[in-house]
Amino acid sequence: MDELELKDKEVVEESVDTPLDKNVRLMSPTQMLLRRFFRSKLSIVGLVMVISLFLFCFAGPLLYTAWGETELDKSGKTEYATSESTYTVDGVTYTIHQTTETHLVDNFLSSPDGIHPLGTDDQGYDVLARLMYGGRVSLIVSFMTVFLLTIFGVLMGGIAGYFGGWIDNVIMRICDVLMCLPGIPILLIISSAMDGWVSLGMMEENWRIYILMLFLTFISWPGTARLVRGQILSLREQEYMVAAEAMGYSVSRKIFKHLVPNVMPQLIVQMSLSLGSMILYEATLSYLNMGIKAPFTAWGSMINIITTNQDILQNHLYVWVPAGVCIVVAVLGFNFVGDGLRDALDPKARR
Amino acid sequence: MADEKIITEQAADVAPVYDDAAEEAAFKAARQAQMEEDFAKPFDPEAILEVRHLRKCFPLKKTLGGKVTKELIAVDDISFKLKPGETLGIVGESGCGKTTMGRAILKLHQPSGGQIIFNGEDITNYKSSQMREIRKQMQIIFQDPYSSLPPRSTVGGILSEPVEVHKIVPKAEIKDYVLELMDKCGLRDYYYERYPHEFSGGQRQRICIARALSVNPKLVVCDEPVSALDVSIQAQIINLLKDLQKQMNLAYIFISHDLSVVKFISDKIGVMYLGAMMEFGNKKDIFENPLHPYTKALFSAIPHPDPDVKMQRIPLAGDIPSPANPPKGCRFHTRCPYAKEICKHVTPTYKEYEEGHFAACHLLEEE
Amino acid sequence: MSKEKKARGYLTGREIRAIAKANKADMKRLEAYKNRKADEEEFLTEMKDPSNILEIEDLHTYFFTEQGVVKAVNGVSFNIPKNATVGIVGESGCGKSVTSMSVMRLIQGPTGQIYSGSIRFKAHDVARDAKGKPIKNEDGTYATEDKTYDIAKMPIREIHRIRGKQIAMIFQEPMTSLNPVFTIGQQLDEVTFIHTPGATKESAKARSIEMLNLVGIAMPERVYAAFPHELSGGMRQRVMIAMALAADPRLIIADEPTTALDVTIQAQILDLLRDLKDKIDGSILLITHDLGVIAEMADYVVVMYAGKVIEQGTVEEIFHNPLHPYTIGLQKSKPTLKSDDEALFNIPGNVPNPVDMPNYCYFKERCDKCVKACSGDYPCMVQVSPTHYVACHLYDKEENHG
Repeated sequence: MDELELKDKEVVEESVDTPLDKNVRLMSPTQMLLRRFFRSKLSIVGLVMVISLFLFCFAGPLLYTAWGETELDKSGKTEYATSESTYTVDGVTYTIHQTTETHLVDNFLSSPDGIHPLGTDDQGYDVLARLMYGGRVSLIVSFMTVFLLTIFGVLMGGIAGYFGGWIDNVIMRICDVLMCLPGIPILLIISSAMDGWVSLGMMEENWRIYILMLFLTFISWPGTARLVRGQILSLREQEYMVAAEAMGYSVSRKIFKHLVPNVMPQLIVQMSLSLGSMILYEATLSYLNMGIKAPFTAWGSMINIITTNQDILQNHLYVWVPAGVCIVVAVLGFNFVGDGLRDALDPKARR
Repeated sequence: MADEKIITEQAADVAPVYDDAAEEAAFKAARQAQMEEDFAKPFDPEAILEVRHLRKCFPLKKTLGGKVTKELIAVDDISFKLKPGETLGIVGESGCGKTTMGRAILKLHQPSGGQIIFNGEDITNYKSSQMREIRKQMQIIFQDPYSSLPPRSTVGGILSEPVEVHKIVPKAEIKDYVLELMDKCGLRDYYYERYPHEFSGGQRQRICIARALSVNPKLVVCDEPVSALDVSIQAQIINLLKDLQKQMNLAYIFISHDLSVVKFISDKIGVMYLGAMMEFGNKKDIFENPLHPYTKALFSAIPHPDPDVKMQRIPLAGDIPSPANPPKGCRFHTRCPYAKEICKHVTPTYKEYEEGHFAACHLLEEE
Repeated sequence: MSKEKKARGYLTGREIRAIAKANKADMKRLEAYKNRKADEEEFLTEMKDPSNILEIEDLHTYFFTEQGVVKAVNGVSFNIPKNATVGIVGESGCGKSVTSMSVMRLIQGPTGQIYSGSIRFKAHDVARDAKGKPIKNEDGTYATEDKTYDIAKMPIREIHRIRGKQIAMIFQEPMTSLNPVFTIGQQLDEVTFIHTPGATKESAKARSIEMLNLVGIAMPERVYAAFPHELSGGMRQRVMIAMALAADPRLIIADEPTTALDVTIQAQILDLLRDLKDKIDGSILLITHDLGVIAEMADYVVVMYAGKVIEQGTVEEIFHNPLHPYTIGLQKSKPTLKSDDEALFNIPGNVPNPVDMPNYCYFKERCDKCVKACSGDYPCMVQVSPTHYVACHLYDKEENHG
């Protein structure tokens, strides 16, 4: 067996990779991410929903130029009203049938036809065009809110998580207090306060929704802050952070080059999920008549019409149902995409 | 009945009575005096690192006012010197404070007491801004090669960042410098653009070593660098560390629970138990003439890869006590097969028994 | 773009889709096979050698990952004789744990599947009539008989017949293998309740205390009432062993039972396992990466590398006369207290990633004793002595000449 004894080789000069090593072909990080995202049918559906909504709202008006956002259909409309009156003269009853023909300037509540694919609303605006322009407002408002919310949440959560101690305590207690506040009632109160400012001419009516959403940002950042803080607390204990400390990196480098990139996956997921809820918030506020006012509109305001007129709710579905469908599609789409992203970016979280 | 009485009486006569509080006070006073004497000594110019009576406590309980009522003494009164190019091996079981000691020396934990003299400077109370300059001279390699690399940077990014921050070489030369370093640590150049998750444990540990060495340190604390690796890979990493030590004249503090690995790489060895040094000496002394019963038990516990060698085990009863609540007297007495009455009450002093060979045990004092 | 990817060693999109498609078909078929309903006859079989308790023959366990099929266990065969300890030794990723998980049928589907092969196990199970109903004795207990099952062919719904009861497992992590919200007693009693029909609360407790005594716990009553977090790692591992023993299994699989423990505690647990082997009437399958543990514990050793058995034999044969260059290298690269060399011997290279394995010897690239034949087919198992087998081309020749 002696000849089988291995010779002690010079140990330093070992080859590290072998052809076996090179045979191994892996997926690149981007491929892995895409593969995980597209493995789920729902996230594909969600992505299609979101993309088509964006195309509809932002590219749609470029193609559908027949009607503008604030363009009334002045083609006129004739309305007929019949009335009946009876009176008795000398025991004989006479009934008079009277038909009134009214010529109106605006073509409102017109049923869907060649000119108005989705009809017109009670003012005479084209519903399809309004749907596109209203969608822009809804999407922009919710994106803006989520963006602000995330920046604020990351900042506060990051500070609390990295520095810990009393700073953490103060920020987290503020979070607790803010999470106790009931959102909608407070928004109602602020909105009625704004009524006064509008009548005094201190602000424009259409600022209302932006100010309300700004306030919404202010009361909903604790969710993001907690997420970021929790992530940073656990990442701070990771050995690569100790290694960064041992390397003598500065605090800002540690936070922004080492911690924040590692929180990004969770943040992106959180952002896409909260986009859905912000669209719902905008719709709710508009529905409660605190949103965009005519002549401008948003999806929520388009549904708001039904509160003023029972007839529209029952007989003119084309005026408000499309807006409702858009809201549902947007919320579902963002949630599906969010779930898909969670699976793709944070594989530990699934199952 | 009569016999029994006599025996108990005798036992009472023979057993010395220890006043725990007084013994502890005496021990503390003696240690305080020793500390003051040692702190006054000049720094050893030959040593790259000198640790004097290092102590690290973690608060366990605090009053509302923030006053610490109970603490965990993770590292208790550790002293040693290390010269450039030397390796100090630290052995101990879980909870013995070896990792905390390593991190306290690098000031990743602020020490609670004692002195750390690095390269002729007392860095014990340096602020973090002062430490930033010192950091590039002392580095650390971790046990877990999976969590010690940032997952979202490429290997090239991980290795060039410290070079860039500490301005080791001009900006234009960074890539060449990193590639040369990778080659030195046995990493292929095409790994430069890859991500850590694509590598096996051994390759990741090589990346960690390369990162630590990228700033040309003088001292590297290796915290169980091979425990998470396979046997055949362990040997590669140990050989790599040894080879790099020769090339760069590095001083290592090599922390491990595995005596056989420590033996391979160390010049001096320290055996820790529950935060305190039990025995310290040159490799030869420790292996040929272990003094402390704990060291002997550790030796005998390692299974030998030969079915015919049946080791005479020194049985250690029971479990390692919690470091939050260490036993009184000698920490080891609860598990020591040779424990006597004195061990339960009096803390043994850490003394030099042979030249450069220290231990803390009452049995040795009697001899 | 894709050319560049290829150069950097990444898969192209087309390849990824092809892999996914192929995986899906295989996974679906195997998952359906696993979840099928089947009569007992389908998985009853006979042992090749009646003195064995477990026979694994040409076992293939695959993981269908996104990057390709990982053949974690790729044609493994070995036997476990009655009342013997068989040790599987190998590095991470060699398939030693997957082998044991396959025996327990604990492979996580749908990605992990037993692809082919058989695992024959001599069980001591409840006798059943032609309709598959258990036969009851006159005194109300169930009649039992020896049967040989092919575990690999058993539908997953029948696996409760052997899992935990006939084959018990001790895991590596004593910290996470016990449920933190139940006391040790509750968890131990549960084992008795499940596997002993007609057990009462008192009898279960008596059995649990007996088990705790057996594993050398000094105060069984106190430990019985304790929660897992109140025990140290060594104590928990003892409890795990007690749980494994409670159902009187014929085979105990110990998957790295001492890796997570300190050296002095490891010594205690090894002593305990060795004592128990004499006390209980069963076999042990010990899985570890530590050659020292194997040398102390095992009667037979199986050395695995990259999903294949490369050498097997008695413990004396493997340690005194290792034949495969990998076995030799493994033994030499382990630092021991006795050795006194300047540098450690090491095997160059890394443990290969088991996707897309070549068809020549997997160890070829790391081996310093290659011969011409090594570039040819994967070597067959060569019998060197009645108990000693090795898969290496170096020994092919000897056989040819002889």
